[in-house]
Order: sequence, then structure tokens, then C-alpha cells
Amino acid sequence: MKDMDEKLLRELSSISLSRLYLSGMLDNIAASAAEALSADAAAILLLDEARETLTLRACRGLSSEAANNIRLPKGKGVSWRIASQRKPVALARVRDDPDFYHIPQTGEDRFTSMLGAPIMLGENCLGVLYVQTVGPRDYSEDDTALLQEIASLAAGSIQAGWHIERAQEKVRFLTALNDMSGRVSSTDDFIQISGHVLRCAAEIIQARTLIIWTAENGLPSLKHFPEATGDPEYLRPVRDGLITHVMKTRVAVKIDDIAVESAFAGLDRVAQKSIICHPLLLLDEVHGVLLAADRVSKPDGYFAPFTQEEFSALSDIAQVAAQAIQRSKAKQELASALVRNERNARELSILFELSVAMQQAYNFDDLLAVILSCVTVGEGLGFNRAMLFLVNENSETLQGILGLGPDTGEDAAQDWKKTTDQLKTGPGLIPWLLNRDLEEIKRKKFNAFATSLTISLSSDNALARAVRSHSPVNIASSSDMSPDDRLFAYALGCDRFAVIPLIARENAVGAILVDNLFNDKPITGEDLKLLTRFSAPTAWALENMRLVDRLSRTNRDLITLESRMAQVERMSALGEVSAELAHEIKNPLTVIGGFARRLYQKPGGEAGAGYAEIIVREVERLEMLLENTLEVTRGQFDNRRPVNLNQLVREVADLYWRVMTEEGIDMKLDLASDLPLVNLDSAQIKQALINLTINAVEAMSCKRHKLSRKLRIATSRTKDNSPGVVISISDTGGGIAPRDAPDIFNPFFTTKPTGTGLGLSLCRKIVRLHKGVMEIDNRLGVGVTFTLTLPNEA
Amino acid sequence: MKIKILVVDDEENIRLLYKEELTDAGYEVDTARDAMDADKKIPLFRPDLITLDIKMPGMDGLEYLRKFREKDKTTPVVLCTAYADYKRDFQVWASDAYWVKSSNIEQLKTTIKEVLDKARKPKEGKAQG
Repeated sequence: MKDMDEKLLRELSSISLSRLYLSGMLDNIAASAAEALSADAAAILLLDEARETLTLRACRGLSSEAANNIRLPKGKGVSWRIASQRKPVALARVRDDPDFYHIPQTGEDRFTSMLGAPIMLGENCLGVLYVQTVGPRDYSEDDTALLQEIASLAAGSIQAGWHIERAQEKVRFLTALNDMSGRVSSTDDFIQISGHVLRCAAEIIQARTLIIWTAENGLPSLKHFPEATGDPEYLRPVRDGLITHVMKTRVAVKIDDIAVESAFAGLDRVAQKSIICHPLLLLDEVHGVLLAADRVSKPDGYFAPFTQEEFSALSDIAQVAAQAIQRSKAKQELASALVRNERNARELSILFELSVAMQQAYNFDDLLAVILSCVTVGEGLGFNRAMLFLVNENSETLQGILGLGPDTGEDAAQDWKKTTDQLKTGPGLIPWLLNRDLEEIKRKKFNAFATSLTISLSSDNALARAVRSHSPVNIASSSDMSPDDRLFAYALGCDRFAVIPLIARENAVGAILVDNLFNDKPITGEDLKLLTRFSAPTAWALENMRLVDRLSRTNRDLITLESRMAQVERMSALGEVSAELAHEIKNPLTVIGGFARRLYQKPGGEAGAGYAEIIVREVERLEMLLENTLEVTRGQFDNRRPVNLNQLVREVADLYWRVMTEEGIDMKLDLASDLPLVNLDSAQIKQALINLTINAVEAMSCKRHKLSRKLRIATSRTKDNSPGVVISISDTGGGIAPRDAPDIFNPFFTTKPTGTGLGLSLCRKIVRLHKGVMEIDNRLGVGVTFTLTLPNEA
Repeated sequence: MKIKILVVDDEENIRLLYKEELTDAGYEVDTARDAMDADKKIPLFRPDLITLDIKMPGMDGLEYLRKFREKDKTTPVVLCTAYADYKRDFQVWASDAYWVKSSNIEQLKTTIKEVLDKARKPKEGKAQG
């Protein structure tokens, strides 16, 4: 017996030391026990974690399928008595025992006797070991002692087995964790990181659901991963309750049964039973929260609380996840810092090249071309289109000076290719900037549009705002727009644009407008910063050029003043206007005076009554004349009545038809058929039209004029459909020289040897008296269009 | 036989005034309202002197004077106008006198007399010699 003991103990300890899995060990113990006690069968049943069932884990002499499939519910059978009383039981005939509980299909109905012992580890019962024989058998005390010995050795083996299993579990966990940290390191994409984290957690933890919430400014964002887990709105209560709590307290939470836990709302939206939840915490910064819900218990599949091991495993996973997110953020910051650095370097080089080019630009036009080329070229600031405006202090407006940009997408692609080729093969950026084909730039429609713009500094246009506030304005979306901007954006054809003021000597001298119409690239804060830095040297260069210009202008103004004095003198002697008036007055005066003398010389004559009547009528005529003159000077009209503007235009056209033909001018009338009748003083308006027509004819009739001579008079309704009319008179007379443009409305200003200089000022006066607007679109080298908008004033 | 004067002016009341005054002064007076009217009346009336307004609708006085002088180099013409500026116009030189309209018709009468006297002297001289 002793020999046998020694052999058995060696065998058993070799089993416990072996690296077999627990089930293999238990099989061997069962076999050894059956052999040692010369029994026909042996079985080992182990209590589960919850101590609710005894499960058959190994057997000898019973049906092989029985292992792991036989479960004894609590209190059933002799085995449960052994486990709960923790005492061995020896039964010669087991059926005679009151606790006998037959389990079918195990094959144990073949056996009669039973000797069982609890498997004790210290005070803790792990399960039951028993042997059986076919025939009845009375077990000796030695037998019982031997079985107890085997059971206690089995306990050690089971514990060792558990340790091994746990160690293996740990190895599996660490392997998975290591694998995960390797995978998460390979990407900076947050969604991919989350994917790896969740896959790893799913391998280690038997959870029904795993979710990550990300942090935004220290609070959980509405977004979670994987997004398929549920609608963010549906999970909002969870986020606002538990997740926010974990993120704020930075302490993990373990909930074994959500039915009992009442501190957080809406937990039933993610779980049915249990939850564990860890902050993704690294160096005092929370990057998110990792949640696992409903531990799936094996092998039954019901939902159980998470074990402490799983709780700490999830903590380790959260740690690795936090590191990965932190690293990804740091890397992104580094990347953007690198981009910033690169930008700074590029910025310096652009500013340098620009200042060199500006110093070399030798007249105003070249300077403008250099500035806008720098703003638009890819090697420079890279905007699609740019416009330059200068402040006109006299009229308090911003005047479009130059626009640089392609007219169409095709145009843009061609320009881009051409520029790239030129820069690649040419001598470099500075010479390229200085040798732009200004005429080509000016030919584009975009330039025509830019130079047609005059914006009041008191308006609510983005340009005016930028100049007034001395700070950039970025129209990133329609919500940034004033009503003026909306109209402007419509004309520009682009909803997103930015304006920087050009400031020199603390004065705004102008502004640059940029947009990205063709590639639709948003204008970022960085873009604006660079543009602002670029604006300072630009403003100074413009200001210097302007000072030179102003000096020569002052000089010229003196000359203009001199010639104007001469003209005023000429006028005062006997001007053309007063000549007209004199004739009108002189005739009635002659008549009145003449007949009055006759009456005086021949009082009481037959003809006396007739003379008096003539005198009365002529005096009335004089009064009327005087009244009309006063009306015009006072700005009142009594002669307004509904007028068909087209009719007036035709009358004027008829008057000048012959002159036009002689001068070789192609006159075209473009009259809208749906023109409403408008209350106008037809004589006054006709006068204005005549003046404008004469101006146009004279502009085109000078000898050195080489453009085709075209006069177009067009009428239309006002654009806003208000009951008003618009008339425009366009010529191809080459436009008004920029140096003359500011003066054209001044009375007595004229460029013609015989002009009075009253024509345009009178026109403007007439239009203003009608509460209308007179606009001028001056295109140098092309011609001028005067546009009169006349409202229907009662 | 009375000396005949044709008054050409577009203003009806001016025509009436001249006619009354000049008739009173002993002339035979006819009137025309514009250049065309004058052209019709001159061959029939055969005036010894014409007063011609400058500013008239249609053909103005200066232009009519030029045309008239192509056919008739001798009949005196007194230009009448509301203002003096036309004195600078060389076309005025083709007339015999230039009168700036005034309610004082006596000046016009004096001018007419002077012009007629000047015109008659060479004629009389010729006839005598």
C-alpha cells in the first residue's frame, strides 16, 4: 500500500507539474483514483464560480460525452451533499441513499457502490471526487483516507492547473495587447486606432458590446466608435451620464447589474446586465472612454458581471489606446508645426521676392501688375483671382484699379500651364513678375469688371468695412455677408472671398480682394495672415508711388486752374449760355419798350388798346421765362408728366442722324419694348440726352481716333423692377483719361477748345432733380458708358 | 414814291412794332416771317432796304444774307439781333449795318436813314456823272 502510495504521489505530482491543460490533468487524476481504489469508475465534479452548479469535468468508466455536459443543480444528489458538508461519503449501495439522483445517459446506472470525498483547498471546497464499483462494496476507512488523500492532491493540481490556465490567459492577453499596440502605432487615423483597440478588447473580453467615445475639449463628443453600435442621439443619455462622469472623475466604473445600479440614466440603452468603463487617460489628459457591456458567460451564453481580471484587462487596453491617441495627436501637431515652418520659410521668400520686384517696378502700372501677380501666382500666395482697389479721398470711394484672374475654368487651366512653363524655363520669379503682359491682363473681362467698380467707403460692402476697420474681412460663407456683400458676391460670381486693407502711415490707401473661384479652396486663417503680412510692403510701395503722382498732380492742377480762370473770364464776357438767355429776354423787351413808347407818344390813339394787349402778353412771356429759369436753378419742376422715354430717345436720335452719318458713326438704338411711362420733365431730360449724345459724338470725331465709331443708346426697366427706367449711352471714343476722370462733372471743366464745360454738370443736375442716379463706366482705350437711372417720382 | 422797307423777323410783335414805327416815319413797309417768306416777297415788293433778324428758325439771318448777296450786291441790309456778340462774326461784314435790338426804335430809324443816305449818294453821283 505504501509503495503504491509513493508511486501514486509521484504520478500525481508529475501530473500537477505537467503543463497539461486542466481537463487533461483531471482525466489523469480520475484514472489514477479508479486504479488506486480498484474501482470500476471515477469522476471529478467541480463547482462553478458562482457555486450554483457542479459540473462533471472528468471521468473514468462513464460515458465519454458526459464530461463537461453533466451539471448538477444546487442541492441535487449525493455529490452536492459531499460538497456542502465537506465530508467523505461511503455507500455500498448508492440507490439506497435518500439523496440519490439519477442522471441518465452517463452509464452510471451500471454501478452499485460509491465512495466520494470533497476536493478541499484549505477551507475552500472546489468540487467532489468519487469512485464506484459495479457490485456492492463496503469501503474501508483506509479506502476513504486514500480517496481523501487523492482529492487533496487533486486540489493542488487543480489550483496549479488554474494558475497555468490563468497564466496562459495572461499570455494570450499580453500577446493581444502587444499586437494591438503594434497595430495602433502603425496609423495616425483615429478611426483605425479605435478599430484596433476594439478588436483587441473583443479578443480578450467576452463582451456583447464595446464602444469608444472620443473627447473634445475634455468632454465626450457625440460621436462614438464603432458608429454601427448605435445612433448617437439614442446613446446621448449614456454619454451625458456615465461617460461624462467617467471622463470628469477619471475613475473607472464597474457595474455588475444595471438593474441595481441607479446612479446613471439610460444604461439599458447599451447593456442588459453588466458594464465596465475606463477613461482613456494619459498624463492627466482624457482622450475618451472605453466601455464594455454584458459579459457573455461561457459556456451557457447568459450575461454575467465582468470579472476583476477583465476589469483590469480593459484598463490596460484603455492605457494603450490613450497612448496611441496621444501619439497620433502629437504627430499631427508635429506635422502641422512642420507645415507652419515651411509656410514661414515660403512667406519670407515671397515677401523678399516681392520687395525686390516692387523696388524694380518703375511705373505705377508695373507695380500694380507685380502686386497682383504675386497674390495669384502659385509660387506666391496662390489665390485664383485678385483685385486691387485704391481709396479716392475726394469722393470717399474705393475705385477698382486692376483685376487679375482668368475668365473661365479653361482659361485658368491654360494660364496655370503657361505660368508653370514660364517659371520652369525662365530666369526666375522676380523677372517673371516684372515682365507680365499688362495688356493681356487688362483685356480680360475680370479686369473690366474690377475697374468698373466704385464702392462708397460708407457702404456696408466688405471692402469698405475692411478699409474702415483697418483689418481683414473673410467672407467664408453667406452668413458672414451683409446685404451689400450678397449683391457684390453675386456680381463677383463667388460666395467666398477675403479682403485685406492696404495700410501705410496709419492710413488705408486701398484694399486687395482675393477669391478661389476655380479650385474652390477655402481661404484659411493662415492664408489671411500671409496676405496681411504681404499687404504692408505693398501699401508702402503704393503710397510712395502715389506721393510722386500727387506731386505731379499738384503741378498739373495749377495749370488746369490757370486755364479754367481764362475760361471763366471768357464766359463772363458773354457766355454761350447767357447769350441764349439774352436773346430770349431781349425780344420781348424790345417789343414792350417799343409799344410803350408809341403809347407814350400817341396816348388815346385808336391802336392803343392793341398795343396794351401786346405789352401785357409780352410781359407774361417774360414772367414765364423768368419762372422757368428760377425753377431750374431751384430744382423744381411743374412740367413733369408721364413720358415715354423711348420717344425722347428717338427725337434726339432724329436730331443727330445727319451728323452721325457725316461723321461715320454707327448709331444703334436698343429700346426696351416694355418701358413704363415715367414722370419726367421731358424738355430737361431731352437736354441731358442731347448733351450726352454730343459728348459721345465729339469723343469719337477727333481726327486721331482710330477705333470703330459706335454709339449705342439703350433703354430698359430698372433691374429691381421698381417703376423706373434706365438709359445708357455708350461710345467707342477711347474713354476718359484717368487724370481727367475726377473733373468731368465739375462745371466749366472741359477738354474741348470751344466747350462751356457745363454739359455734364448740367446733366447730372437734371438727373439729380429727378432723384435719379447718373453713373459712368469709363474704360480706357475703349469708351465711356453713361447710365441714367430715373425713378418714377410722383 | 415812298422808300420801301422789308422787315424780316420771326416774332410777330416785333414785325408789328417795326411796321408801325417805320410807317409813321414815312416808309412803305412789308414784313416776312422767315427767309423763305422773304425770298417770295422781295421780287414782288422790291424793297429799298431790308431789316433782317439773325436768330430765326430754319435758315438764320447770316446764312440768308450770304445767299441774298450772291444775287443782290446793292440793296442795303440792316442786321437786327438781341445781342452784340455777332459783331465779331466776319459774315456780319456783308451787311450794311448792325443794330442791337432795343425798345428805342429811334436808333433803328437813324441807322436806316444813314444807310439809305450812304447807298443813295454813290447812285446819285453815278446818275449825275
